Amino acid sequence: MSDMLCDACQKNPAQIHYSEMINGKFSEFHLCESCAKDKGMTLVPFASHFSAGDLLSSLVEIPFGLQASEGQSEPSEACPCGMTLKAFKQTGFLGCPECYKTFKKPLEAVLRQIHGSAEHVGVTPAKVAKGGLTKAERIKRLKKDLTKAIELEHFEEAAALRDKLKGLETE
Amino acid sequence: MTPSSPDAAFDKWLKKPGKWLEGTGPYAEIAVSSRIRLARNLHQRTFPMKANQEAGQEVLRLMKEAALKVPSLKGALTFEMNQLNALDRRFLIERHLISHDLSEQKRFGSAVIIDPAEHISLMVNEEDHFRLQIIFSGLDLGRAWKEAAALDHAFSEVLMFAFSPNWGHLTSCPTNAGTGLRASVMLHLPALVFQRKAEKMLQRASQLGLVVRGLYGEGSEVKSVFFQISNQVSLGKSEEEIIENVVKLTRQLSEYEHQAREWLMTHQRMKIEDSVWRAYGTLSHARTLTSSEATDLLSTARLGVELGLIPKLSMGVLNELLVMAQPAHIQKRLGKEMDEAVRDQARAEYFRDRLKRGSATG
Repeated sequence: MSDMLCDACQKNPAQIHYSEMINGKFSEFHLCESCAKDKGMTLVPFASHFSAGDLLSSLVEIPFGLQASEGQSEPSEACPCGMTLKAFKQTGFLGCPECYKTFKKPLEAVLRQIHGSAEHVGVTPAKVAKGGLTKAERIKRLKKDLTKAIELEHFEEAAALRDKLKGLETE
Repeated sequence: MTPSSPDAAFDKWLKKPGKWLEGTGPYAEIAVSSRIRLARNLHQRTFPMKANQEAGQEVLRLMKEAALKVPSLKGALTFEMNQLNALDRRFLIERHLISHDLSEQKRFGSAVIIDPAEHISLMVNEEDHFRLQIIFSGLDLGRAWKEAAALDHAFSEVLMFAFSPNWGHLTSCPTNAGTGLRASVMLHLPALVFQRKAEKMLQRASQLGLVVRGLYGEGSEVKSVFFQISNQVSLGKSEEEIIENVVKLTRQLSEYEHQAREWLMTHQRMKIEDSVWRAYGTLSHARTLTSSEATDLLSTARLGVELGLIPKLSMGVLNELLVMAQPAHIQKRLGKEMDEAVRDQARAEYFRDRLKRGSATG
């Protein structure tokens, strides 16, 4: 065990041994002290309330099998925030709540894969339950965002906002 | 007494570690701590990873404003990451109040809001707009959830969350969508590891849809091993169901660990006793102790305390030493930055003194 080299730098001897069992799949990593520190693992045992993405994504590729999308054509469309499906697949992170609408189909599949379900049965937040923003509030907010987008010359975003605004105002 | 500044808060915390470290919760001889974490985002706002400075600052402003309206956060302090130096950020990590990720300031407006008792920590602009964390000692997920739910509700009355009726909370990483809940328990399973039974147990656990993570160091005869059990799935189950699954498994593993310890005490008693007392001896007399040495020895001593073999050492003191042994803690306590060799001596000195003073906490 003591002559094992660190998985990350391949230089120092591995002193920290990390093992993980998810869905019956066992993985083991061996790191030296400095690489472990770089990756956010401290040696104090109860520092290890890891976040799911944290350690894994720094050592291996994004684990939720997005590689095989079963022949889905890769839409080059982008969310108003700028996020693309390609970028999401690379980082594992979305750009904004709207991404969940923009990439509805592939995300539905991802959610099912990760959670085994795509239906929320937990608590609903208070303000949401009470109907959220009023129409007037939403219009006001959209107008503000539209002005800002034009100022910043984010014309694609502005066009999308203007369409939303039109939609709301004619409801 | 509410501390009036970050330094004042750090000083106060240095003198008395958070309540969750007292080691007095249920099943405390096996379950170290229980944690509930809720990931939340604000309606229609770009996630932290893609947000620019203005957007990030705005989210922080909104969170601070909202926190003022939440009664249980009265007296809470806000620490903005870009206003803390590296040592201070390291200190907060060591204290489990922020994640490594937050301290790296990868996003604008990253900050943490902490209650004076240190068991509520609210990270702002980490992976999500905010992440609420509550920690309790021992196996106490039920109580932690009750508090977290109340806090969540209070915020949800004041802020509009990014939420879809179908998919629940919309988080920056889909692995957290739905309830946004991560319930985890830290377990100490040295006997199972010693009997080489841990892997099989954990394999069974993982088939129940739970994530088991282990972290252990090398070098001591009795391998003291800590494992974290947490839910993998956050969407499609209710919060209560998720927590119940983690609790059930934790109780089961605790039972197995109990049995394994009983076996050890019957068949290997002298070996264990010798090992834990040697650890205690080194901890109370060494002149230098490296960080990893200290952790290793404390882990071994921990088993001794859990088995009642070291009467003069209490779990509270043990946990305190584990926290105080860390690099930023050593430097903050002595009020200056130190290189490794000096820290190692300071660490050993602190241990000698603390262990001489005995089992009284604080």
